[in-house]
Amino acid sequence: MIRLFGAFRGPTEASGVRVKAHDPMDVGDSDTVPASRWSRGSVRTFVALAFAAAIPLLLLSGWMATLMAQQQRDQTRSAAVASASRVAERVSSDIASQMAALGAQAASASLDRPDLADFYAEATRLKTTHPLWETVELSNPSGVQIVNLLRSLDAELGPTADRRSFDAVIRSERPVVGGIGPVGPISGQRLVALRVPVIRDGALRYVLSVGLATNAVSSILRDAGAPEGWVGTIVDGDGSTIARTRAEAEELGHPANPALRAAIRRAPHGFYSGPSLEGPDIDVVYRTLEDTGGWSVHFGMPVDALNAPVARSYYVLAGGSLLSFGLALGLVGLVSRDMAQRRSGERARFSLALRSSEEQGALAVEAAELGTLRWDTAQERVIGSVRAADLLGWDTEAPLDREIQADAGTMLDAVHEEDRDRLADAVRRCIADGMPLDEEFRVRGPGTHARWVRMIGRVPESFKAAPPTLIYGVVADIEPRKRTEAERLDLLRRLGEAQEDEQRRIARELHDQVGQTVTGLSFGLKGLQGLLEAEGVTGEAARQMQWLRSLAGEIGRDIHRAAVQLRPTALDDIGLREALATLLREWTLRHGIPSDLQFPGEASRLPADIETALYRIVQEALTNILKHAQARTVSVSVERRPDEVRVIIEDDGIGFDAEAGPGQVADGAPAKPHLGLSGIRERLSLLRGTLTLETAPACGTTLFVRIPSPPPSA
Amino acid sequence: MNHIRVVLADDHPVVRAGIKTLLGADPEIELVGEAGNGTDALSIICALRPDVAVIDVSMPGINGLELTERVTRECPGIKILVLTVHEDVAYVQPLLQAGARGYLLKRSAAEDLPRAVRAIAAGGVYLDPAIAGHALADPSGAAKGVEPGEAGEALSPRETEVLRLIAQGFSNKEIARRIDVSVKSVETYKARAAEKLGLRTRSEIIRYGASHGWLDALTLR
Repeated sequence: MIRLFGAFRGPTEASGVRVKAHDPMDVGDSDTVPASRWSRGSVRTFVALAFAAAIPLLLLSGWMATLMAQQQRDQTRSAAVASASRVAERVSSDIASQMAALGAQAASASLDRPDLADFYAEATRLKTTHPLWETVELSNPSGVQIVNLLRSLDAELGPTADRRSFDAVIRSERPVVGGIGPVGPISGQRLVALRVPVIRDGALRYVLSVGLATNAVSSILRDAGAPEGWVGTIVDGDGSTIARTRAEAEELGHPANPALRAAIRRAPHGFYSGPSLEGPDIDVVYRTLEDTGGWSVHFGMPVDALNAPVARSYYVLAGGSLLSFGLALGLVGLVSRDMAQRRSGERARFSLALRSSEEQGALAVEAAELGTLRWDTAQERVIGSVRAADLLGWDTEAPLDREIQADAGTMLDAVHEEDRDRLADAVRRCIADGMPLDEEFRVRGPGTHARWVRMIGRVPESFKAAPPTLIYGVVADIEPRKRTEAERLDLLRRLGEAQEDEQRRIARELHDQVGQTVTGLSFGLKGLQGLLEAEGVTGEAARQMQWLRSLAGEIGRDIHRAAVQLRPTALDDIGLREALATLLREWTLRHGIPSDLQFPGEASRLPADIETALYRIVQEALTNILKHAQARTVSVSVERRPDEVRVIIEDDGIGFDAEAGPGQVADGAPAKPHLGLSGIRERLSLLRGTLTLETAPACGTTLFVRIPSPPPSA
Repeated sequence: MNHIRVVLADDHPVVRAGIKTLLGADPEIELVGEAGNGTDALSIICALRPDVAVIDVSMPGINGLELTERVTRECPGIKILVLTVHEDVAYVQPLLQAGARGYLLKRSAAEDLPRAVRAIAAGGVYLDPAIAGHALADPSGAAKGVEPGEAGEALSPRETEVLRLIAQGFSNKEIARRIDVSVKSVETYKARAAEKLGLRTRSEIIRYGASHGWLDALTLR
C-alpha cells in the first residue's frame, strides 16, 4: 500500500520535473521519464486501490446480508412459534372451557333420574350459549344415542358416530376430546366430539358428548391469527386434520403427512420439515395441545419462502465473493504488472549503473594502460584482456574487445626464467594466505628484449569463504619506470665511476707530475747543498738550505697522503687485498685501534668496480666505527666465494639497539650509525649487493656485506 | 776502481736529471744508462746488465712491478732498487716478492739514494726507514704468531659448530636459524669458545678456522 501511495507521487514528481526541466544543471534520470508513463501508471494504481478497497466491502456486505437474512428467518420462525403457542393455548382453553361446561352439564340433576326432557331443554339452552357446538348428544354406555339436539327427543337416533372417542370414555371413565369423527348419520358432517362420562353412584350411566363443527375449530385457529405467509393446521391425536387455514375443505379429516406424525410422536413441540400436502417442502413449527387427546397445532411455511431471503443473501454473498475474487485477481494482475514494471525499471537502472561503472572502470584501466586478468589456479588457466595478453607476451592473435585465455604454464613460460619461480610462489601465497599479490617480473618480449611488468591482484572477496582458486589482477607496464630506475642506477654508477676516475686522475697527477717535480726539486736542493758545502758556506745559508730540503720532503709526503686519500693507487696497481691491508694499517697507526684483516678463499682479483666499492665500504665502515663505536679492535674479513664476495666488518664497540630508531645507543649518547650505512647501501644497490647489520647494545656491531660476483672467467 | 754500474729508469725527466746529478756526485757509482719508460728500461737493463737497476714504480708501458718481475725472470742477478713516491706499504711486499732488493721513497732519495745503491750492490736489502716499520711490523698485533686453541680447554660440539659457522662468515642470526637455537645462545657459545681458545676477533676465529680446514669446503664448493 505504501508503495502504491508512493506511486501516487509520481505525477507530482513528473510535473515537478517539467517545471524545472529548463534547469540545465539537472541532468538526473528523472527528467528523462515521460509524463504519460506516470499518468498511465497512476490510473492503474487508482484502479488497483479501488479494487483493494472494494474487496472487503463486498465481502462484508454479503456477510451482513446473510446474517440479517438468517436473523429475519429466525424472527419469522420465532413468530411462528409464538403463534403456535398462542393458538395452542387458545384452542386448549376453549376446549377446556367447553369441557368444563360439558362437565357441569354432565353433573346436572336432570340426568340423575334421568329426566330427558329436562336435559334436552338444558342442553338446548347450553348449546345456544356455545355457538360452536353443533350438537349435544347423550348416549348410553352401549353407544346408542338417547338424546341428540339435532333431533327431537323422541326420534330414533342410532349409534353414536365417533366410536373411538366413545370407547375411550367408556374405558377411562374420564372426559375425552375426540378427533375428527366420521360423517355422522344425523349431522351429516364430520364433527369433533367432546365427551364426558355421566357417572352416578360410581357407575357410568351415560356419555354426554358435544359435537363441534370443524369450522368452529377453524375459527379458533383463525382467531388466534396465523402469521403472515404461514399455514396453520390443527391435527387430532390420530393425525387427521381438524382445521386448516387454507384448503380446509379438501384436507379435513385426511390423515396428515408422515413427517408430521413422526414429529408429534417424537416431542410435544418443535420443528420439522417435510413435503407439504400442496407439494413443496415446508418448514413447520408445531405444538401439542394439553388435555385435548393429542391435538396439535402446526404452522408451516414453504421452505423456499422461509429461506428465500437467506438464499438471496447467499447469492449476494456468493456474488460478492466471486466479484471480490475477480477483483483480487485483477488487483494481483495490476500489482504484479506494476511490480514487473518497477523491477524492469530497476533492472534497467541497475544495468545502466553497472554499465556506466564498468565503463568507468574500463576507462580507468584503459587510461592506465592496464591489462586485467583472472588467474584460475584450479583449472590452471589465465584469462586476460587483450592488453594483458599483450603485456604478458602471449603469442595470440585475437580481435579487440575479446578476452584471451592462456594456459598457466604457457603464461609462466613467457616470464623471464629468473622471475618465474618468484611469480609462481607469489601466486601460491596469494591463494593460500589471501595476501595481495604484487610482483614485478620480466616478460620475454618478441625479440631478446625483456619487458618489466607489474602484476597486482587479490582473491575476490566473494570467494574468500570457499577455498579460493581465483585471483583477479591487473597487469601494468612498468618498463618505463624500470628503465628510469635503471637509468638512475646507471647514472649513479657513472657518477661514482666518474668521481673515482677523477680522483684517480688527480691522484695520478699528484704522484706522477707534482710528486715527481717535488722529487726533482729535492734532488736540486740536495745538489745545491752539495755545492754550497763544497764552497765552504756555513751558517745561515746552510740552515736555510736544510730547511728548504725538509720543506720539499714534507710537500712530497703531503702530496702522497692527499693522493692516497683521493684514490689509493695500490687498489689499481696491486689489488684490493693490499689496498685494504694498507688502509687498515694506516688507520690503526693513526687512531691506535688494533685491526685485523683476513682474506680467506681465492686471492684472485675482483672486478674493478667491486673492488672500489668494497674498499670504499670498508673505509666508510671504519669512519663509522671511529665516530660511534668506541671499539677496542676491528676485524675485517673478505671472502671470495664462487658466486659472491662477502665482507664482514666487526667491531667490539658499544653497538646500538637495532630495534630502536637510529641515533640512539645504549647509553643514550647521540649517534647516527645509519647515516654512514646509507652510503654503503647506496654503493651496494649499484652492484645488487646486500647489507645485513647485526648489533646489540654493548655487543659490538657486525656488518655483513654480500656482493654477487661471477667467478673469474679465466 | 770498481764502480757500481747503475741503470736508471724513470719517466720523469726532472727526476732523472736530479738523480743523475746526485749519482754523478758519488765517485763509486757510475750511471751507465737511463730509460724514460718501462719497455725501454727492460731492454737497456738486460743489454747493459748493470749491478743495480734503479726503477720507478709508476711508468708508462711496463710498470715497476712488472718490470721487476721480468728483469728478475729474464736477467737474473741484476739487483733492483725501487724508487717511488708511493709510501703505500701495499706496494712493498709485492715488489719485494717480485724480486726487488730495495725500496726507497723519492722524498728520501736525495739523502739516501747513494747509500741504498751501495747497500744493494753489496748484496744487502734496503728499505726506506719511513716504511720499514710498516712493512715489517704487523700492527694488528693479534697476528703475531698466536697459536691458539691447542693449549686451551676443549670445545663442546655446539661451541665448535658455532665457531665453525662464524669462521665461514655466517651472522649470528643465520647460525641461530641453522642450528635452531636463539641468537643469544649463539652469542654465548661464541663468547665461551672464543674465551677457551683465547680468540678475540672474528679475524682470529677465521684464521683459526682456516688452520683447521673449516674453510676448505667453501672455497672448493
